[in-house]
Amino acid sequence: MCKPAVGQVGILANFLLHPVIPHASFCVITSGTKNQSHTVEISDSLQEVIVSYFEGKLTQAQADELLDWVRQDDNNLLYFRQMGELWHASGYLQQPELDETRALEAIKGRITERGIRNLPGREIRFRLSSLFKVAAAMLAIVALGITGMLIFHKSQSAVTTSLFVETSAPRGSRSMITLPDGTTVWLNADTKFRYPVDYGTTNRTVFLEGEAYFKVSRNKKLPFKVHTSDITVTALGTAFNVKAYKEEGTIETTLEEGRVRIEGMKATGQAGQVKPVVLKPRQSAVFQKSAGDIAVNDQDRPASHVEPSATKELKILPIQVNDVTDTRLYTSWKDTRWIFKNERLASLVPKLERRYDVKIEFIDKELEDYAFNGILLEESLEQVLAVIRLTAPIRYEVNAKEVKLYVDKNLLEQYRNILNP
Amino acid sequence: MLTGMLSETDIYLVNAIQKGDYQAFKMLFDSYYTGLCRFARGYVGSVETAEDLVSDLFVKIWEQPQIMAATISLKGYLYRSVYNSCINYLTRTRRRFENLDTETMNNLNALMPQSFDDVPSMVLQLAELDDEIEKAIGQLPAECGKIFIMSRKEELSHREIAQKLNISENTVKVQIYRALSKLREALKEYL
Repeated sequence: MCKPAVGQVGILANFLLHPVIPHASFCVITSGTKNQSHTVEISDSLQEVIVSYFEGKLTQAQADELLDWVRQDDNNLLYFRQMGELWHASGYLQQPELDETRALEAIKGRITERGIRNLPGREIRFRLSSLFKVAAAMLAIVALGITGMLIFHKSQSAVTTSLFVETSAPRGSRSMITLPDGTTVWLNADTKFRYPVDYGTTNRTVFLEGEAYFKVSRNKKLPFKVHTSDITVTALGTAFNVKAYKEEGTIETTLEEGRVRIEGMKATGQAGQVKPVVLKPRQSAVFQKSAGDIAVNDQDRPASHVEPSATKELKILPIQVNDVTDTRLYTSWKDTRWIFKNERLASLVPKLERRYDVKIEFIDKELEDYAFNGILLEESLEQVLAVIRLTAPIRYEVNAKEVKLYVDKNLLEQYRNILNP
Repeated sequence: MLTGMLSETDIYLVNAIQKGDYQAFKMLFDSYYTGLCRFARGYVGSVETAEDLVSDLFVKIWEQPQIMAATISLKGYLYRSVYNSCINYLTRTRRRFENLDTETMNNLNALMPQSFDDVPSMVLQLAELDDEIEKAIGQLPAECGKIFIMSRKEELSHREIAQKLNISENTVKVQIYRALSKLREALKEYL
């Protein structure tokens, strides 16, 4: 028979600041600071009482036993509360998805006194992309266009009076920033990125439109969240790439290290359809913005890196997880060596358009299906086009910011001769 | 030790909502609605009730936004409010400790934290931990895990579990206690 031990070490607040490290046992709590420790033993009857409490059913005698025990020692209370947290947290697991849009409509319907009509707010739309617009309208945003490499320091964001720090990498440029917690973010061309000024203190939430590679500092207490138009990617400390361009039909997340969780943005009303997925290293998740619209989305992936069986399921699942043999194909845009393997020109061209801030037009559509392999080293656009010409029969015309791609009949003939001698 | 004061984001949201900015209200709703409903459901048992209680809070925030002004942490305020609503609901409908006198019931209810501003284990709310908890449940000894899942996932009462498995209710409780202890051990770095 265990007896509750008396003997108090410190007050509750101290234990919250210096969390106790319990040792494994189901009958004994060991707690205390490094220098002092004490043990509380929990009797069988008290174990039953604790569990009965969680179910809300106690006799008067049991209630007295519990209250006496808890009052003896703040450590007992702390222990009891931790058990309570676990009881509730394990009850959270089995949850039907909530219809947030409907819930918000219902709340709006009940709001009478102040009304919605006379509000400064404009149109109400249930997509996060409108958050960008709304924020722009509501807030004084410090927009910092970045060209080349620019590092932000805490002091720079501290002087702003706005809610968010917004940075962007315009077309034709890439940039890298370091966030207050040491997290490094590479922004690909034509990307908008913002984070709240209190980033790192109460939250680690960022907003992305475009493509970015993240190297996230570890912090278990504050998960790092990337919000895109349709999905949220949550990381605890990890390296990953998110591609979420507005004009593209998919949002693609590729994980290099650690673990990330991907779920639907609740605001879009898609949360119900999107089953959250957790990625392992060297996996990539493709989210279909409009589920079922496959033709748009398929082009954007190097065909050889998709599990054949997985491709078939695209129709059903808004998020499709694929194994990736070489994550550099997804992340090397930020490096000096930009690597491609079996990349269709149809998929390569939009990337080049953003990187070089040009408009590239396929005059001959059949060129879209040619695949490109290669490593691009900080080359000029003309050099890149010349490299592509080594693997695809293209002829190109460059006119200021416009490029036209034609089939080079002579080159095509040469290829045919090589292939069918 | 308290967290200090409202963060800048919180101050902004509170001010904007006080001025009648519906978008700010919606931002607040988007950030917290689901989490609060999950939290509430852990106490009241039914999703519908949980959603009702949380919706009541949002209506109240819109109509009397000044109630948020004196708070220390917006998140803490929201969870504390929902927690209080849950306890009120349970007390009102006498779903918990219905056989006890009011004073004992209040004392028992007070055992769970009244303020969430300074409870580090709040991180258990975070969706990230679902997997950790699932993993820890998966590692429970067979019988213990089975009973725990029947209780927490299938939402059977202790009595129902006892009847199904043909064991005593006390055995059920002891196994659930053991499961919680093991989860506490497995998840200690988050508590």
